[in-house]
Amino acid sequence: MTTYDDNTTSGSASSADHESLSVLMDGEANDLDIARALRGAAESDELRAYWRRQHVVRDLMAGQSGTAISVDVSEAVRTAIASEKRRYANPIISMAVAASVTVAVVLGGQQALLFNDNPINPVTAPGAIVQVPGTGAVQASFAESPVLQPRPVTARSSVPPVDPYSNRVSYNRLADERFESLLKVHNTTASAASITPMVSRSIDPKDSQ
Amino acid sequence: MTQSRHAFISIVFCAVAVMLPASVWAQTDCDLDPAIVDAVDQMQRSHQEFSYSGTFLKESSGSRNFIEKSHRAGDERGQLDYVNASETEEPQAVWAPRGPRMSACELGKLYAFHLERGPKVAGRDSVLLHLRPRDGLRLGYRLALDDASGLILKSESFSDDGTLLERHEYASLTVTPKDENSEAEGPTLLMQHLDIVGLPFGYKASLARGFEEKALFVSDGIAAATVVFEPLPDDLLPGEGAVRHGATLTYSRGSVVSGTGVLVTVIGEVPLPAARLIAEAVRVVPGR
Repeated sequence: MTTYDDNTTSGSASSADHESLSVLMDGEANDLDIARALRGAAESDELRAYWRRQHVVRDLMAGQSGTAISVDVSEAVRTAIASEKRRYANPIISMAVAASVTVAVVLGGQQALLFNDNPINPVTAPGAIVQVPGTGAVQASFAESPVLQPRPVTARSSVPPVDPYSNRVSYNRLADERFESLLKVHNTTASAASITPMVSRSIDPKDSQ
Repeated sequence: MTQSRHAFISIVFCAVAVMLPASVWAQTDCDLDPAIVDAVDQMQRSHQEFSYSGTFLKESSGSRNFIEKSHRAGDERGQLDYVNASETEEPQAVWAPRGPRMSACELGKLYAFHLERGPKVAGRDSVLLHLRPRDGLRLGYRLALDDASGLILKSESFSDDGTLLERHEYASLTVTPKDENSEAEGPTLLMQHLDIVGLPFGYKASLARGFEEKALFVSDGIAAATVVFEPLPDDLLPGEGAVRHGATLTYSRGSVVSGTGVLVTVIGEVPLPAARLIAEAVRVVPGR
């Protein structure tokens, strides 16, 4: 098992940020684009709105109905969390609350950390988006790059030392519990994929209901 | 908590209530090598056209298991039996892949393909199909496909840095074509896709089969994730966390929406950036 930490950073919207979000949405983003998009969207409501608008436009152009059934709750979540933050004058609790603000809007990143045994030390900024240097978008072309060479299967690693002041540890533990309880559900639903490269998705449907 | 639980249920139902008419992922022409198109097509049809039984090795998260698998052509479920297990371990049902078939051309927008002669696996000739993601939002795969049937004889899942996350490999396998006189399978149900704004490129959402009331299924045709909604435990502040077991990532995010705590968990064979984008895209309507 691998658990992870992350960091946040801040930035401001620019035309380059808009462009980075566009290429991210088109699946053509490189490392630089993803990093820029994450940085730019960290503090920009406009950029997050732009992200949503672009998706709606793309769906409309693709001939799909643009009836949005959803609303963006990020602002509501941020407001709710901000009010909680005011409730807690205790700096230790505030620190945990500040970290939790990062859930408001997240646009990616972290892959490098997740699969890296030596993660980059996190830096946290309240109200921001998670972004990590070295976030790895893969531009793949077998014509230009060698075929992947596997390394040995990674062993299940242990959970990092518990930090009593961070709810990240609690959430990592929660995610681990959810893995145990939801894997069968996932194996059932994932069999609906066009291709299941897992060879087997072991599941007893009766157990999962 | 009861009140917030009601609000939570309202949230989930609002989020999944409105659905668009079924849309089939259209097949388009492209410049892919016809051999690759054939390989992908044959692989998708293999469970419908061939019965098989055999033993494979599964390596994941440092554990190794030998598992017997049997499947009858066209059946929705097969059977799995862990060969080396405790006495109480009973055979399990296993689902065959189902759902809208995606063309190689569609998949080619998301993955770069490469096809080459493969090794013998379980004594059978194979071709190796490499699927390398075109972005950081999905895993990479190397699949050894049976020459005769298109069945996956061996599969390996990779992270973006080439780390092998999980491997399945048959040691023995018997394959027989579908009996022409056997009962024809029922019509394949097409999935209805939900209109969810902001999903990562190439991913589509639908109600999760068998768990329509509490989960969504998100997939690009190969990468698959299940999104489950729950009330946020009272003692937990908003936050996020994730663990990975083999190729399977579990990402949980707790947030408060209009005073109601919601825990969203994304579990699937996707990279963390994709899980986060999926969790972000699955917005909820405040309870009424």
